[in-house]
Amino acid sequence: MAAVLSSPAPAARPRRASRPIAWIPVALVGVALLYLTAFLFIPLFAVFFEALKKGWGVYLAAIREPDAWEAIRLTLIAAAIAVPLNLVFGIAAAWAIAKFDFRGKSALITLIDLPFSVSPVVSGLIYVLIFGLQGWLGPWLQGHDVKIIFAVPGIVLATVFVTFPFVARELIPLMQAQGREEEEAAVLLGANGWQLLWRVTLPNVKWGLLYGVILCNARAMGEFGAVSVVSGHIRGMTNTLPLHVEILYNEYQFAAAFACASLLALLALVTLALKSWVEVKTRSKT
Amino acid sequence: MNVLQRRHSVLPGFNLALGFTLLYLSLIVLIPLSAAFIKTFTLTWDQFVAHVTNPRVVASLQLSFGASFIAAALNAVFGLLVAWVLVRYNFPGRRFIDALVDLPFALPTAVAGIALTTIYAPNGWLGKPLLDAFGVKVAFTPLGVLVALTFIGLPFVVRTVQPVLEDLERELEEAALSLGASRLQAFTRVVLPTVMPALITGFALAFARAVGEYGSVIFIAGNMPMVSEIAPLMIITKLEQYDYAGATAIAVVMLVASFILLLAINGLQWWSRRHAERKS
Amino acid sequence: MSISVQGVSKNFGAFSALNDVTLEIEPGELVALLGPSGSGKTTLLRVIAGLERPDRGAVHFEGEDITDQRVQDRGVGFVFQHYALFRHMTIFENVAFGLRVRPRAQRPNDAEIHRKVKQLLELVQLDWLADRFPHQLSGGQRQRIALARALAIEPKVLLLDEPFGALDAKVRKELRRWLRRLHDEIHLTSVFVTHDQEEALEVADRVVVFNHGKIEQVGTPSEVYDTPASPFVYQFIGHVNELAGENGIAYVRPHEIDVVERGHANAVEAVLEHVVRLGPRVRLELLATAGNTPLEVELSADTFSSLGVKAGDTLHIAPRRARVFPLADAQAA
Repeated sequence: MAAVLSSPAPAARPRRASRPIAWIPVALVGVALLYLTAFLFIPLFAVFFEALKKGWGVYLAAIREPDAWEAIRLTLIAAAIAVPLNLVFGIAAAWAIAKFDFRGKSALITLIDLPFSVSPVVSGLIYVLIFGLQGWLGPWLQGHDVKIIFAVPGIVLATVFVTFPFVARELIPLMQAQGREEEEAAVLLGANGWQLLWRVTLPNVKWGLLYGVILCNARAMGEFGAVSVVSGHIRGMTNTLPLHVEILYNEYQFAAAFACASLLALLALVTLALKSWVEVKTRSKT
Repeated sequence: MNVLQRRHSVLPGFNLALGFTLLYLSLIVLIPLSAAFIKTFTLTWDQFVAHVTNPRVVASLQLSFGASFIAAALNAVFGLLVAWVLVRYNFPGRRFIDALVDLPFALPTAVAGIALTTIYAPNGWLGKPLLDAFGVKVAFTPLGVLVALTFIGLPFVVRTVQPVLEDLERELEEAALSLGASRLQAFTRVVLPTVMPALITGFALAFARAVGEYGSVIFIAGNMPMVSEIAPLMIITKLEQYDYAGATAIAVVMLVASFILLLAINGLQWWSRRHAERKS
Repeated sequence: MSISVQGVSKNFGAFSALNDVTLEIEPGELVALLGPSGSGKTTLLRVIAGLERPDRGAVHFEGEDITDQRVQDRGVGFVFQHYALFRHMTIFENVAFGLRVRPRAQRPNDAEIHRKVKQLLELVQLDWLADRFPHQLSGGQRQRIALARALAIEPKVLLLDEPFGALDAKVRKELRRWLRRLHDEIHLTSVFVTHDQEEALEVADRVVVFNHGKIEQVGTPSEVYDTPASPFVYQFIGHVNELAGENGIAYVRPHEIDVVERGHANAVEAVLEHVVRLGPRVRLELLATAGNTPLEVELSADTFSSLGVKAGDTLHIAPRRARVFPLADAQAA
């Protein structure tokens, strides 16, 4: 692990500077790795270790269980609704903000970031205050037999809220940096609005778009706090996969809990791999 | 033409795009958030104060903010170190570790929570040696809260400081060395002032995230009233007792805190940008 | 296609970019809009293209008012300063874009598009780059592709914003000549913006000099150089000496000054400070004895050597030609 300061030392540089004492880099790298090991690597490893501790049989049984399947299905449904919604929103917001000048633009950007700074629990709570039994629309909804809180729509809404800014915040700076000239050129060449969007703007931001969607999806499938508040934890009905993990853990079914958790950890690793791949792609382009 | 628009543009779709943006923002974010504030108006001021000064609530707020602050400070120190190591040194597995730094962003908090609990429990891989050697109990104590909050805040400082370090010209340090500064002096007088705005921004982001964190904490905290109960858990507890007003009162305190943090972070980012521009 | 700009004004906030500008451009002309940055020349180009909407005034193409016409319908070829090539498309697709986005009824078939794009790429002599992407091209190549792309829609007028601004000196010179030749070939009414006087004088049929959102002078290159209409044009185009007199300020070009015998009418006494050789020309830097005014005189190398003077000598010089502007006009520039 001999650390290398990669730039070659110019001849005129003082000798002291050109020969760093080798133990400093080694010590720094060592401490950093120790920190990352205690907080990142061991927890990640533990998930898979605990999941497989009692063997493949127990692992597969935990995943094949009907409640687990229901939880996976609901998780996929919530992401399948939240991600496209926030994708369309992200494109619309980035188009308005990056390609036009208007007053209050920076305030709008701040407001779009707002859900990131709200505690997940509070994100769930605000929907309970509106759609819950004692909420604004509660009595009306009950009168019409519509259930939002402690039901799937509430879970979807909470997921949409917590993943709200992901795509927009990737696209806005990217499209701002690209400017308006390519779109203006396309208009001069006779392109209409849809042709502009599909042929010029979106192809230009496709990697940023993908990046935003990947992060948005990871959060949508993994969200716990907000969903926990609105779900009601009805097994096989309103449990997403993270909530299912919680229930199993609280029932001391550790192997099963970690088996389900390992699916989510795999999702996280796939997310990181895709993210790195997109980063490499975009870096080689520029 | 929309009143918000100042300059004519030949590009189409402004009214549609902005209209949809504002509508969606209002429906999903602004109106629901305002519900929290309007709900607290059903309380009198005295009731509100009574709710948020309840000793158990105060203890939970103190724990949330205190532990978040320490966790963010830890991450500021070690995050800077990790960023430095990733930018400056080449070692086997560097790229892999670089990618894995974002794990706390990608790993669902519940998974992180049960994994950390298992490791730091009194019979866990790290919990047992710590207990045997130092008599320190991590899981099910405020220290456990700190561990979870450090985990989820880890990427923020690294990711804000890293690009600044990458842009930092090696010549600046070399100039300092050629002028007779020691390596430590070159670091504290040249490198540190340059990364300071990014470092503080990363700290603030990690702090803001930690204050509201729920999923990764509740498993490891033990949730003992007055000792290891965090504020978001208090909200859930009140909700489960159908005390909506009490839950909302705590939520409003947290919302106001996070709005202030958001504005502070925006200000900090503006400051760092200006700082970076002035340098170049 | 003639272009007529009638009383056009355009403000950006408190800044007046164009102030009551009127300009006639004849069919087939190649016109340069010349001026310092912020003088309004680019804004006028964008108004003609339809990218900016004028606050007041009108733009006519061939006598038809097109002020409110959509950009898409104007049939204007526009070349951006930084080319604005579509970075995710090949060169071929960039040039084909204008044909592919036509409404279905007017869209040529694939074979026709291929034929046409190939023809355009040949015209700009870059057909071998068809499959490359913009970032793989040099600046000069991108410039020519941007031009080919603009020509693909068979525009009625061609507008170019600082077409050579982002290129290095050698490529600039080549492209300038090439553009001139291309214009002679296709004879399309063309307007280009530049802040480089040499470029404007060399390439354009007529030059429009801008300052502070107004037109200072319109004329052929020799008109604006030889008979500038204002002190600003004198200063902006070529070098000029300013001599304060009783009635105003006299403007004299360095090459319009002779070194004369003592006692010559209009002679001014000056000390020769430096001699700068510029190939076949020689520039004398002088200091007038009266008023300590710095002066420049340009001579051929032969004339200079026949004079037999050196730095430190006192000379007498006399303008062959001068133009006097009242003090107020001079200060306005």
